[in-house]
Amino acid sequence: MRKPARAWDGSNISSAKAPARRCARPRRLLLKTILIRNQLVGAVRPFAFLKVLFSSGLAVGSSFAAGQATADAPLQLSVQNHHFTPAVITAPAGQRFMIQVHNLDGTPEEFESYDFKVEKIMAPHATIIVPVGALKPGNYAFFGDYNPTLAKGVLRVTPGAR
Amino acid sequence: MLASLLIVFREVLEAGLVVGIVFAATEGIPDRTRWIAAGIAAGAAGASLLALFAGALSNALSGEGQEYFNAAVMLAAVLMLGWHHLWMADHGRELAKQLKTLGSEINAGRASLMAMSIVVALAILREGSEVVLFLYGIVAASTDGPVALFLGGVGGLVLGAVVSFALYRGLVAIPTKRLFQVTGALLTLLAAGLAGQAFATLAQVGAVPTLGDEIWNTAWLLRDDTLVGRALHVITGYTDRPSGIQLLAYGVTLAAFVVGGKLMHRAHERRHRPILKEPSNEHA
Repeated sequence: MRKPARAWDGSNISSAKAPARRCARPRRLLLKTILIRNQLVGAVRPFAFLKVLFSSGLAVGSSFAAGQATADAPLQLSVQNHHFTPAVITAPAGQRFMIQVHNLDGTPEEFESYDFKVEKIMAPHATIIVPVGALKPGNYAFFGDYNPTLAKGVLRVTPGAR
Repeated sequence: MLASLLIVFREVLEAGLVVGIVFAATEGIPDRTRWIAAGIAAGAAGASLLALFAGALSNALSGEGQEYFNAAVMLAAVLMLGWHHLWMADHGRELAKQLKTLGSEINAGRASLMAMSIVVALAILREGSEVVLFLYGIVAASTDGPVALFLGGVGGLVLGAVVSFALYRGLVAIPTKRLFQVTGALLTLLAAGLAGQAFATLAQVGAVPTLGDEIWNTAWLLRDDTLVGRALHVITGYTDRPSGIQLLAYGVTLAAFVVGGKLMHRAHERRHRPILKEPSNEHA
């Protein structure tokens, strides 16, 4: 499922195969490498991603989200008949996480939140995954932009663990 | 019907504000209507195409294709705005002067016009695909009165266009001497906002560090989801909860435009400085 992590030039960061899920230490090391690389690239060559887009093909972006994701599984959310299920999801404060949204409707929808800054289009019957930045405790509203009166939900960020 | 009108109106207005400003900023450059119309047409065609492939684009790059695409589109627009900005720093004054004398022509405006045409096309491409998808969704879900909803959508489109036109008329009412200063400032803010948003998008998918998820929060003052908030967001890049990288990109772009414009202007003055011959100096 996971593509091997890659550097900006498209070469593999670690020449070995991607570490197995259970193996915590090397995985963390790999994460660190990717994070440090991202920070370096972000600070020194802010336009480098354009080069990535145009020179080394379109399969490179995968490692970055993987690098930022927490080890936890993404929060699950689905849209059916323009309603979110569950209407309230809970996440811990102070750490990045992912939300996976399944569009079960035959129409496109846009998963959007002003409160935690997400705006992503979902094709009919598509599944998307969006990263969310570290949030302070509180309630954060989200909605479906194409059916804003029906598709409404709340992300509850709690101080403790999920 | 009202809901669909509001949704389409909002999206059209976001692109329309850009078109209105561009129209005012190119006042007096010959052929600009044709160029900008071409930009609008290209943007609309691209938006329809994009809507068709929205699913594929969204799934590209492990589900981050849409973000990378949007960021690339926004940064391309920033580059085009920069080009126009530098060109105006070089030619703006002549343009303003010739605007007063009717029927004058400026020949060098071609390259800048192309840049502005691309800016318009990119703005419509980005916002337009959402409108197309929304309208498609209405037609596809044939249960709840698609005709009324579709009419609402079309109404939103027309209303958005009217407001954009009003913005243009308001801008060109500014005295010619000041017009390009105002539009120049507006385009600079527009570019800075786009750059900030592009980097916020890239930070969201983890391509660049966020440098702080929420530097400040002015949601109590003006929320992003109000109409004023959205309009200010388009024109000035306002957001109630900016990230660090967003502020950095905003600041750097703003500085680059101001300094670049100043340097270009100075170079222009040097080249076109009138040669003064004062006989009194030759005596001494």
